[in-house]
Amino acid sequence: MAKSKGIKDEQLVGFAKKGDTRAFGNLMLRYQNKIYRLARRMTDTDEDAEDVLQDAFIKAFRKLSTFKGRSKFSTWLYRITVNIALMKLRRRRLSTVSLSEPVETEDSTIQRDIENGSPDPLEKLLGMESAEVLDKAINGLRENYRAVFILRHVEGLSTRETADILEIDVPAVKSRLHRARTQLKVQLLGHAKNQKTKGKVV
Amino acid sequence: MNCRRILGSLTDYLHGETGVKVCEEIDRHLDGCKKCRIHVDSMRQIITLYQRWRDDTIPKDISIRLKQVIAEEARKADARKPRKASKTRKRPKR
Repeated sequence: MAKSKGIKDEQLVGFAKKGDTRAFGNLMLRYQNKIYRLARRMTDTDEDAEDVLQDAFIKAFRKLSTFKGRSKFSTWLYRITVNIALMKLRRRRLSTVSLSEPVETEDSTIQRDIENGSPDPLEKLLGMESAEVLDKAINGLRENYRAVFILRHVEGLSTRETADILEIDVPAVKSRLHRARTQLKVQLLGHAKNQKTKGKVV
Repeated sequence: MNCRRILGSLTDYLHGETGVKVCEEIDRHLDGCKKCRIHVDSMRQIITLYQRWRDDTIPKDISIRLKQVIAEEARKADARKPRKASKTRKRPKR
């Protein structure tokens, strides 16, 4: 197992299952950046991201024998990571209940918002102090919406793969994405309006 | 195509995963519907910006600690394995 380049994940998994720790090390090298990025985006702190990263690989190492290869290894690993990150977020939410936490909206509300979509140009807002505002808005999403938004839009996984990772069906992915995007837009436009009001006062 | 159908196909459209025919239909709708155009543009910007902004390459120290943690796991797993019977024969008692 000197070089892993050109070897498929499935082969490395096979070696690792037989006890070849270097094969598992190669899988780790292959995925540590992706898993760290996902964990960082889900949890939004360096410390929690490292915890999630370590816990995900420890779990993958311990449970590798149960991986039957019905999905891709990456899907399995993403699923483990997302579940650990979600648990962390839920624990965090329980310990600090936020009053500004967005309320889950119904489809009709979402639709009404889109139909009456304010023509306020989001470009202006996104051009100015965009990064922090956007990050805050994404972190304000409910955990499940955040997971689906990051997997589908940021990691660029397919709807099917996102569904497999989250163990939900494709329509549920689409519906959560829809809600996530709407919540984001509402939050960003709300922020833009606040900025405008502040601007008038000053 | 109406506004509701646009919203239903938005994810695939933003990722360039709709078929040519649907894509053309959406483009045509967007040409004539300002509300949808603003919505689609906003979403595209949100996604692009978020993808670009975050450089989440794993820091070297975190990568090293991960390697150590897994090496420790491997040692523990190895220690749990039942030892194979030694092939060296015991010296017969005199």
